[in-house]
Amino acid sequence: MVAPDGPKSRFVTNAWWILTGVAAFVCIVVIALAVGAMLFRRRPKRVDTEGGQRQVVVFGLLIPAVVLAATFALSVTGIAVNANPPSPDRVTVDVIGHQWWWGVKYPDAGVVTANEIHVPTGEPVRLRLTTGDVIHSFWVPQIMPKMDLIPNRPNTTWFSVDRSGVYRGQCAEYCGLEHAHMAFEVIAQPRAEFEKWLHREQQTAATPSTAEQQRGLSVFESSSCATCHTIRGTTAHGHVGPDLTHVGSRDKLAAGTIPNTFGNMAGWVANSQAIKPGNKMPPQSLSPDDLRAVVTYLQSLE
Amino acid sequence: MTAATTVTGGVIPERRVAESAVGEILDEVWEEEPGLIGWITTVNHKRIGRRYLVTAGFFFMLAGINALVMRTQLGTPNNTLVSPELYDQLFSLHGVAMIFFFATPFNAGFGNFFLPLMIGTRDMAFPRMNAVSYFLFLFSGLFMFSSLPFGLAPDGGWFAYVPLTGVKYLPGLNLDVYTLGLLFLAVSTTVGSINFIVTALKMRAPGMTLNRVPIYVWTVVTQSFMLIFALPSLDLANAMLFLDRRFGTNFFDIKHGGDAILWQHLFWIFGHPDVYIIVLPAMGIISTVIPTFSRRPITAYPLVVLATVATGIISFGVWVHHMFAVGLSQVSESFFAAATLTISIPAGVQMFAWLVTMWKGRVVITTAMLYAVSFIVAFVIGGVTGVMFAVVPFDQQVTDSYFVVAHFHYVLFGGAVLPMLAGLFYWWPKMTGRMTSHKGGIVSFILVFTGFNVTFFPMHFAGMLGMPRRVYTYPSGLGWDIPNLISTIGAFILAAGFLWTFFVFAQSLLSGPRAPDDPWGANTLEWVTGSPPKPYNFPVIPTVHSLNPLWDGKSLASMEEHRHDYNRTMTSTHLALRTSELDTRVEKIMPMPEETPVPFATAVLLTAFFISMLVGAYHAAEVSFGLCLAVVAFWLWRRPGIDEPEEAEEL
Amino acid sequence: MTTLDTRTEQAIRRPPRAAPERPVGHTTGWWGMVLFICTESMTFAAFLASYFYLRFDHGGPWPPAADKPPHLLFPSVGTFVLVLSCVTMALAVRAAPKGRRAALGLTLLVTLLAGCVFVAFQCVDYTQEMPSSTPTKDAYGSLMFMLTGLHVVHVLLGLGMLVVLVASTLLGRIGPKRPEPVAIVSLYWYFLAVLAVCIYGTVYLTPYLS
Repeated sequence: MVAPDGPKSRFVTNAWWILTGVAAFVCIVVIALAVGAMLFRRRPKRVDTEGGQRQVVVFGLLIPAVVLAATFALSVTGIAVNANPPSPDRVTVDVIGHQWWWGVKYPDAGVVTANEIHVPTGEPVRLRLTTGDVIHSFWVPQIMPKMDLIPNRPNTTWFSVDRSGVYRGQCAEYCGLEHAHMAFEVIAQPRAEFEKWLHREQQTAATPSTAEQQRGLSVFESSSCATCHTIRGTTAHGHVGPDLTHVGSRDKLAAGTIPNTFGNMAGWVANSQAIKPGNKMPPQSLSPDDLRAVVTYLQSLE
Repeated sequence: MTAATTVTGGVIPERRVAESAVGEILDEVWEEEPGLIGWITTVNHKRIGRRYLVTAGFFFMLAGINALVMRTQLGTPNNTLVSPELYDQLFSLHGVAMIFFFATPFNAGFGNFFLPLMIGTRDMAFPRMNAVSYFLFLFSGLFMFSSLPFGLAPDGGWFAYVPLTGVKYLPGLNLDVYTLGLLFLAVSTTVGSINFIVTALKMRAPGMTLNRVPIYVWTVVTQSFMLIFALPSLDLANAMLFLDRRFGTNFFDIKHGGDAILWQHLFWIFGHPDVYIIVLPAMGIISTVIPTFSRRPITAYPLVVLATVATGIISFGVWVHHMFAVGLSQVSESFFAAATLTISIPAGVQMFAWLVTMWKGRVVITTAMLYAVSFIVAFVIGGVTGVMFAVVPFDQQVTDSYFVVAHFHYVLFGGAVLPMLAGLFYWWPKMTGRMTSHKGGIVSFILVFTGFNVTFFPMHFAGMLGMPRRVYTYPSGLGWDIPNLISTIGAFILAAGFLWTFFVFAQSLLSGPRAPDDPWGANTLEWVTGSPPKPYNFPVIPTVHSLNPLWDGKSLASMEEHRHDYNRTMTSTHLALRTSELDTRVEKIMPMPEETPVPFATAVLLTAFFISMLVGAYHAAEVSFGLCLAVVAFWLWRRPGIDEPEEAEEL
Repeated sequence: MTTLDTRTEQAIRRPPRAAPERPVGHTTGWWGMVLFICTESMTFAAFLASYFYLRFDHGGPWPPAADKPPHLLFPSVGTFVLVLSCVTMALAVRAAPKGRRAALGLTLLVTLLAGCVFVAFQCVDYTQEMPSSTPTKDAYGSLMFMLTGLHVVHVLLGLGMLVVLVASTLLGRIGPKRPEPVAIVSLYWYFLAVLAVCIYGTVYLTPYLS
């Protein structure tokens, strides 16, 4: 079991230990009875063909019924824990599933990013889940159990994170070819840091400060990049791929597939199909210089 | 063949006496066409049952190879052995094949062979429908599997959730193979289920009142009822999906008033009962094997029967627990959590009925018994993890993760494949007339049981550590590497186990000692017949005096008593006894069909129909469907006993 | 002794009426048809449930604003005719074991005709609905056409059975010695009539309820 770092997953972990304890006991008893019957074979001359009904009723019916009733109580408790946050939430995050990446929006702050969810530590966060195409499922094992992203059926739930840190999440509903490469990160930060981050994300993209960056921007705007990606503050307004306004600040690329380094990004832009075959971004036939310029520019967008 | 020797004992003298009286005439009456023509035209339930087993076993091997490739791919992180396209087809086909083309038909094979034998009759109620359902199964299986070499195998997972499986996201023929292949198979399964129920209702030997029906028969009948009521939901969903994909209807198209969750409801209304559709007959095998090798009748027979029927009914009320992550209302979550818990009670009853039977009896260790007991071990583990899913947040945590993969392999492999192996070792002498090697069987058991646990137990941990299912690869450093590596090693042990098991059976066929009529000292009627049984099964239909006809001393004697009674020997043509539903009073001697190519023709035409539909040749589809209907009309026209002289007399 | 009223006494003295053995057991064919009807009922039950599921999931007006409500005349008459044909079907079931071949042939033929009327009227209705709703326009159209269409296909299957029955009657292959095919087909025919009512109520009447 992963170490829980949120009230929801803590319930799951506690339930897991209770259930496993009972389950292990049941398994041991049954297995011991089964193996015992093989090992300690009696050789009576006449077998007793009558009776046994009472044991079956007691051990197979009555005792399980009591255990199962207790399990039901646990289940109902869990449903209640899941339903209501302990205190009112102050942050709302919209997560939009795409084949195969996560759009992330903070509607109150007007922030749009991708594959990274920053939240203040210790506060309930309202999570609204929708999808742009097929069904996905939002799962951060250490923080909260799954909730599906379903077309036409927005799901609203909540989670909170106990300790600051980075938590990996991944799509848990098979969503096509690159289902395996649809991860994201939840980054829990103290309130002040979170607000700083949010404030920075609200800004439009940094203006290029070097000639190379300037060249990168113009390549980005004039090539096919801009038809799919948005960089706020420039003329790039595509909505097919992730918003790249602050892509330089992100930890990973391609929905948690590769670390965000200069080399990785260059490889991704040049031919993403080699890294994540089947993803929706076509290979870009840029000259080596253009490629370097674009990546330099994108890396500068912090 | 010099090594073939007869195992002493286990002869049924009463049958031999009966056979010496009427065997020769019956041999002549029931003689079968040899060769290819015989293969195509036969309606004999034992040959059809054997074919079911062989064909389903073949599909099991193919789907198992799929699994081996997947396990190899997942053995190490970031592996690139297979492409994601291929991996998606492999896991989808693995699931579809194991569930639809192996588990259910393998059970149907046992059912076909042994249900008529256990209830003391000469064939199934509708022998020609039986033949048709086999051919349909074979052709639909080939239809499904032949898509893989073309890269057209289903790639939407075995539950094929829309909208992913809509034509927009998966435009190839892959999902059409899925919908049509399953509709195709559904014809076979529905026909087969009706056949089982009617056979068990109307053809039980005199005296086999409801309280004397073997538990295996109860489980097959319950399973068949479940199929009849559950399968339509899947058929409807598949038909809707096919229409959506091909002809632009809008059942699942959210832009035009359709809905994605409708598919999930329709699928799981079928899908959950299907778990028990697979497991119930397997439990029936366990309830057959354990009493035989405990040397006593099963404990609490009425409770076990009630538990079987209750499982069938309750299983229709739990489907939503597959959808707990969808975000349904808390009321429905709690309701279905409660239902999920309820369904484990009948399983508990059966579990303890077997345990008490063993403790009160005198256990004999054979390969079949080892497999039966290993089923108890595996099924209790799969069962307790199943109960955990009733705790809704826990379910939401582990659903669609490898924990679920571990769980349902414990339930389906542990709960169905292990009993099937028990059944195979148990009934092998009856089916082939040869004994299997005891030592070979034990090695098979050790390899398979070890491989099974080494493969599937670590998956619990991978899932708890956050590994989702259906990923073609995974990054290292998340703690998933070691469980996956162990699973992969286990998969190869398991494969070796199956290979060894195959050789054990092959060796038995080639040079195993000849089996006597009743090598195990069993209690049910199939052991009265020869090993292998004659085409007519019973020279004289016995009168059943108890639940354990071979142990009561009277049922066997009835064969000898009635050996000159025409109503029990029915020596003139293909005839069988029809008895009343509840108390098995003799109603009529029923004419049975002779060999006929009509079932084969029907199946071929229906295959042509489905292939034409797949490739979009709709005129060819219309023609083949029309021809198929014409053949069926001809079939109904030539009912047995109509064109033949009036032999059957009203009793 | 005299306290007993004589009529009662007589009634008591009279030997018990010969109890029928029990209801005569059904044939395998009869059971086969019953089970087939079971599985078909589930198909339609699931379809009708899907209809209401999509309707209430849709939320808005039903039929959706772009569609006109269904026409009633032809389906109403067709359904009525189909239900009425159960009477002639029942008469055929009675005629078969008595060996009244003419009556059997006639009643079967009338039933067959009624089925044809139903199918024809349903097709007329399709042409009337067509411009406003089509199977591919929206879920409403898909549900209406496919649900009624599936039923029509089943009626056609029933008509096929009736054709075989009529032919068998003419050739003397069914009759007093072998009446059960008529009874078996009648089960299916009654099932089709019940279905017709359910589908008529769902597809043609409930849109007017909103």
